[in-house]
Amino acid sequence: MLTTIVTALMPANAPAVDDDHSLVRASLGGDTAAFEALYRRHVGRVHGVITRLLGRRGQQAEDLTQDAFVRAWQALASYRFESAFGTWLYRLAANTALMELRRHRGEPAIDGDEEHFERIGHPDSAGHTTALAMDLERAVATLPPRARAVLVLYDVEGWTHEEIADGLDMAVGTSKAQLHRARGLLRTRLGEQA
Amino acid sequence: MNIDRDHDHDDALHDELRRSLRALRRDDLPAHDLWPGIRARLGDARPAPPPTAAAPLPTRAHRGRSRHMRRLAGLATAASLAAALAIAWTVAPPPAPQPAQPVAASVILHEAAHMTDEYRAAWHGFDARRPAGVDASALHEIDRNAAAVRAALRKDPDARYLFERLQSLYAQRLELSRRLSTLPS
Repeated sequence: MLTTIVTALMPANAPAVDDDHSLVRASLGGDTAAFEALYRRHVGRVHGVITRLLGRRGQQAEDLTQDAFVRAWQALASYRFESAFGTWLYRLAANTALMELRRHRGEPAIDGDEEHFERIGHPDSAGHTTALAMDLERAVATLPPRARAVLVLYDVEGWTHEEIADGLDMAVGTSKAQLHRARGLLRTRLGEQA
Repeated sequence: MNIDRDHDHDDALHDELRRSLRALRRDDLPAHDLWPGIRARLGDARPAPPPTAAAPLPTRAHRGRSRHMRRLAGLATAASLAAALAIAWTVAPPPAPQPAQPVAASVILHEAAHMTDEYRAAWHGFDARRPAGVDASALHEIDRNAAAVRAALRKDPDARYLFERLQSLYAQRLELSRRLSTLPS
């Protein structure tokens, strides 16, 4: 039944942004089928940015993706229809992942324990992946979380240092320092496989 | 979009590598359909009106359950308590304000039957993926409690609170099914 409703709400030839706005308005009225249509449209983008910031796919990324959509539902009334809904949702999703990173900031495993992160950055390595076979995505995933988050936000997502500093609750100078560190580590790791 | 003013510095990345990093920005679908779990967490409420903004996330306790199997038992316990309360209320309903316009009993029963079918269809997909050997006793406990609430609802078809309790149990059942389906065998 929901599929039928969702399909009916997604005309193939209509502009996506207008469709999104119509779906948001319907969702604001409590129409969960409309919100499901928004989910289906944007889940790849939301899960993508969360995965990149966490450095891995899996249960935690899926949990945070769920959280992001629940937060979006709860905060939908704050969407002003001035920008694309996808952009608003993407930002909310990134902030959901950044909140998770901030939450673990005080824990010893967050930075400095690079051996630990070599392991968690490779959930599927388990002896199958050697350093020589490591590609760029994997190399990024092995970076310490905060350094990785800054590099991903700056070099992949295109955020400014000011935006990163705000998102990660750090000084702009710290963001720049973390980027410098992350790039150095990345070059080293890529150089190891060359 | 940022403009890389560090580009000329010693730590500047090679242009090709920078382009490769930008290319990492792509969509990535999750391995599972997350909608049933999201739907269960939305409840029947409309999005919060402004200026309330986002309500506190129910997510950390939620995620915590996934990380510690022992907490799954707590979920089942909560479900049991909820069901016990609901059943007790059939004898002594709480002094809740009565709706201005009572809903027809047949409507509530019809809604409950429809909701039961939809939730069952949703969690059956997860149950089918649950690895063999995973303890599903908590699911069975929730099922028993839901059956008791449905029986109570048949006896008191005006009881909207029983319908809501049933919905809560189903949401917990769905989420627990999803969690169990992702456990290693």
